[in-house]
Amino acid sequence: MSITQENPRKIHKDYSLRIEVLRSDAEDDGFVLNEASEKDFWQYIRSAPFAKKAGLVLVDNGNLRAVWKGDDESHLGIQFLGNQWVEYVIFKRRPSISDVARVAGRDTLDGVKRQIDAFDLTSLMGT
Amino acid sequence: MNGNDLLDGAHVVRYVKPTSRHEDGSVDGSAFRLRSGDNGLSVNWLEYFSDLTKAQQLDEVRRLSRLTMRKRGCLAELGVGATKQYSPELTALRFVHKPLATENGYEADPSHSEIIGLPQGDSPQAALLGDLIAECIQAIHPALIDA
Repeated sequence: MSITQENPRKIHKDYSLRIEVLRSDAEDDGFVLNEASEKDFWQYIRSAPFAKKAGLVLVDNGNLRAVWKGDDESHLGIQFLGNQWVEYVIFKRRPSISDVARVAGRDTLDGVKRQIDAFDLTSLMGT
Repeated sequence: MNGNDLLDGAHVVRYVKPTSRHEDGSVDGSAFRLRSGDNGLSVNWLEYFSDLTKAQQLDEVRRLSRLTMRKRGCLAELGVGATKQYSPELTALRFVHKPLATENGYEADPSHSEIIGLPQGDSPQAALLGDLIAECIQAIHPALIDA
């Protein structure tokens, strides 16, 4: 089996384990993981062969939030709101300017992929 | 000093739940979002306990906290001036001393303070500012110390 086939499987397994830890920690603190958010997370992750694993946390509203960070101050945070909607935060250092572009917004699962392309962040996820 | 802005040289800590920490122990920006109906984000001003060592200041924060702190939670430390100067989006934030009086069986919490000026917690702008604040964290301390 090649590395490119193994990595997504390992990443998916790691995500499953991580979500179980978050689910348990959330119950300890009196809130629950939003199933619609988890469903959208898995749909998003399966829709592209990401080779780089995101950090995964739980927002207080029960939604999953995935964060990818690059060495060049690039940053992508996606909160899965459910019903195919996400809230995203993007930090991206543009080569042509010294400052970091920072944007945030809401979009659909497909729409945020276009944002990722527009900000040239695909390398952040190792695709 | 109730209601006064903390000076730029001050430091505050905020309790972060285990669900807001990444696997590597770092703190996610979602830990710095306002809850619905809140105007300020609760923190504790370390230098309020001016005659104590840093470790003792943190112990006082833990002892007086009204939150149920978890072992895998943490206290994230921010420098007031360093945070406000980190990016243009954070310059308007205020760190205000708001001590809590004795109530409902809780001891007074004299170092309690709030970060004022954050957007509504469920907005994209709140997410952006939260992620920026997380980049300003200067130290992460245990939420609980083993006896």
